[in-house]
Amino acid sequence: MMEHGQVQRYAQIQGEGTVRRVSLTNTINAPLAVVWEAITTLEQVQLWWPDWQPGGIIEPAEGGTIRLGDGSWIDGLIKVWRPPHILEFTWQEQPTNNPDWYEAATCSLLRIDLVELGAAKTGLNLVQFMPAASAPGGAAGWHHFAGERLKSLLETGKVEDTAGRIEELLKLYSA
Amino acid sequence: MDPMSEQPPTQITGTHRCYRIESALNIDADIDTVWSTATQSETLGWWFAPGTIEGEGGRIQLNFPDGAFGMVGTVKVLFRPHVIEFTWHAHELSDETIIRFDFVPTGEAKTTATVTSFVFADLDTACFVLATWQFMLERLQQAVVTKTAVPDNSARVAELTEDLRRQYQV
Repeated sequence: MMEHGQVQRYAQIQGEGTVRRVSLTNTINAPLAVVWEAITTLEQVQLWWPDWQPGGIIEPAEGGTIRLGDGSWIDGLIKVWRPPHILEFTWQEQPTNNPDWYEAATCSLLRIDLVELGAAKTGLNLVQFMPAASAPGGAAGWHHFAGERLKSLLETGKVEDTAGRIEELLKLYSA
Repeated sequence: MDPMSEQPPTQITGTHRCYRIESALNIDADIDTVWSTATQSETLGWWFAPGTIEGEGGRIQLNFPDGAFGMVGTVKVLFRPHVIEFTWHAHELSDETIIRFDFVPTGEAKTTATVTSFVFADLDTACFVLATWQFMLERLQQAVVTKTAVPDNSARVAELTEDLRRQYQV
């Protein structure tokens, strides 16, 4: 694994004030349909999602529920479902009774889109609006989850044991 | 330094009649001003086309001034003041797609606007469509600054399209 000073930043953080735009662009050497399945089916997501928590939900339609966990639950609603190109959903880290998801301080909006770059090459673009305080963790997380674990799974069939990686990346994105 | 060199990138990626297009532009105004100019009925026509935008799940209706093109789409995301996303169908160019505008404050009275979409057609068409959305961002930038309707300038779309055709060797 590369040392801190050598790590390439996959993710970008933009913005001022209370909200940040975290984005990540990556190329995965796998067919578009395979990448789509890897990000939209529980059978595949659990292979690269860290500390997978059984009981997740992905209802494959606009308006459907999405629930993913790694010790605590992230709940959301699917806003855009356009296979095999666009998955977009709200991301609620704490339960709330606020019916307006977007106004809640802990809410964010995540979009992942995919484009075919070749027979076995796919471009992944991720953008998430999130509270400012969450942005370094969000950037580090997506760097690790999408930039490293998902890519490794689809290119090699394996995901390395990467304990401590998030903490290492958090230093990079907090700097 | 050339101020244009500080602008975010514009790009086309993809293959086989499916291209992802993205363009971004820095606007010298606070995000609330940019958002209201971009989305309110009173100002929508200044830069885009006269029309209305309902809430999430509702309609976006645009009536382009020459009467040649009316567009009705569905609002998929309305995340004030950051994201508006809606379906778009220009029959003669591409299958139905989704247009996303997003806005992020990047300084005091500075906002970066980004437009993203997919074009289900050939690369030449993708160049034209991206040029059109670049042009719309430029119009939004002007409308925010001048607080009035931006004059039509179809020559600018042709100029941007030619730039992209050269860049992508179409």
